[in-house]
Amino acid sequence: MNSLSSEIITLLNQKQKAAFEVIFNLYYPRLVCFAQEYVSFEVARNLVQDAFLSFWEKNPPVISESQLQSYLYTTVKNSCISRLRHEKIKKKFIEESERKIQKQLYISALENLDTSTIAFQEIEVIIERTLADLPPRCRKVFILSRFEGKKNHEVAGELNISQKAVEAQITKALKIFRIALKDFLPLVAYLLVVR
Amino acid sequence: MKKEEIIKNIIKSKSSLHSNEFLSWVQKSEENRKEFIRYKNLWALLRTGNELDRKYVNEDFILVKKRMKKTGTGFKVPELIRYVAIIVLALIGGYLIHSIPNSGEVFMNEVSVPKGNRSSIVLPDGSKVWLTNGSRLIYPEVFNDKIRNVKLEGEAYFTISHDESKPFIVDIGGQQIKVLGTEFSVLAYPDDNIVQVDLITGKVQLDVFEEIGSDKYKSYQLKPSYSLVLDKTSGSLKNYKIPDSFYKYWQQGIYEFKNEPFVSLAKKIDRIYGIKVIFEDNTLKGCTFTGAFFLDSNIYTIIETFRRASSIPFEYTIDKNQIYLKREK
Repeated sequence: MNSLSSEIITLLNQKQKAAFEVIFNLYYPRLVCFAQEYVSFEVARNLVQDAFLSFWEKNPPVISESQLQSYLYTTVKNSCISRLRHEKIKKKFIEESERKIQKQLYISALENLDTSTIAFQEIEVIIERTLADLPPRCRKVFILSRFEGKKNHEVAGELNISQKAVEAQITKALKIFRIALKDFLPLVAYLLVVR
Repeated sequence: MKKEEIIKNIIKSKSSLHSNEFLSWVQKSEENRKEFIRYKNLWALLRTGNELDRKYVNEDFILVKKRMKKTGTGFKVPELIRYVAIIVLALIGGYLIHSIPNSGEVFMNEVSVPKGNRSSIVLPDGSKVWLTNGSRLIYPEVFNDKIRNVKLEGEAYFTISHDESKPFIVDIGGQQIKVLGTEFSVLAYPDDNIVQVDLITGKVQLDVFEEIGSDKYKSYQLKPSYSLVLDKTSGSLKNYKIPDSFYKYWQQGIYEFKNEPFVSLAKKIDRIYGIKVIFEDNTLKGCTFTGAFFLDSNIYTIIETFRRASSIPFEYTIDKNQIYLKREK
């Protein structure tokens, strides 16, 4: 449900600015928040802007959204690593030791991060498959509530069911997701509940 | 350390420094380190970016656009026409004016703003008018009469200079709006079933004629920061407080909507972007959306956002100034 339309992919391959703008709007926020986990907010913004520019200038052939994701995340990941290394050398004598330890930790985390197309496909597939396996009413409630960000009473109104029933369906869906994503747990469970 | 606690630490920290205790726990064993890395990376990958303020996205896109070499093929036909129109109009001052000789001595000016564009004009009495989305305003070159009379089709925001001896009247077809000195906006498209007046400050009065050409009318007064909506067929009136989104629309070019059906949003898309939405499947028409348009986004961004938010999956193709929607199999 979250894949780019073939129209956009075609336009992207023709190097159309309009399609580039679509990609920017969809991925800029995600990538900045991703990079911000490792580097400062200002640095994250700069790195991600550079990644988009290099994507535009190199214009690599795009075949699917997961491949595009992989390209963007890999570029940003590598820039984060070189940035952290650079900071480590530059601030060798003035930084407190905890900061240095944390930077080293983040460098090895990033080096261990799989940003291949397959990794993205995997998460996507698990979510899509789980969603498809949910009972219809449960799926409907879950999509309205988690993906469209509607409040429980709004979902209840839209589907003409009680608010209690909405809550019950969401709990049910979360349980199913927890099982499906057990390798990513408990982080995903946390994410699903917090959002 | 419990998994929940590791996660809490990760979620809190971003790139800021972890506590000493936490770091030493991570350093204690290879296992701890691996556990930390696994959650750290997963958390980073799963960020949706929803919490990033939209203003950064807009500002940063402008920065990136400036740095982009002009190697792309620019925009497809609908955009191209739009951008050419904007450039041409910018050259001649942002809008089209042509003078129509009146029966008397006074010339009438007609201003029209193309779809997807906003522009402002200063009237001969110093009043300022903002026009948007394919709207038209007709006004005399000089206000010689006892009243200041203008004609509007579409949407406009008025700041009228005060002149008690010369009331200001906006003619919108079957209705007119009488004004002293004030700020207000009008929405009155001839093909719409409603007419809306929003009063910011001052005092205005909406006169609804019994029929076009008749001189019998009913008058309604508006309170500041209230909207009046007239249903043209039934003649019914609704009065409510102006929402915050109103100011966003005129000041920042953001159109916000709540549970609005796709079919009515399609009408807005036509007005704002000059692109007709054609539903090849009628079930899509009733889908409702909550969100916002940025008047200066391109049509692909808009339609992709809809596609992602829609509870009924759909596909689209864009051809010239039309966009076709059909359900995904």
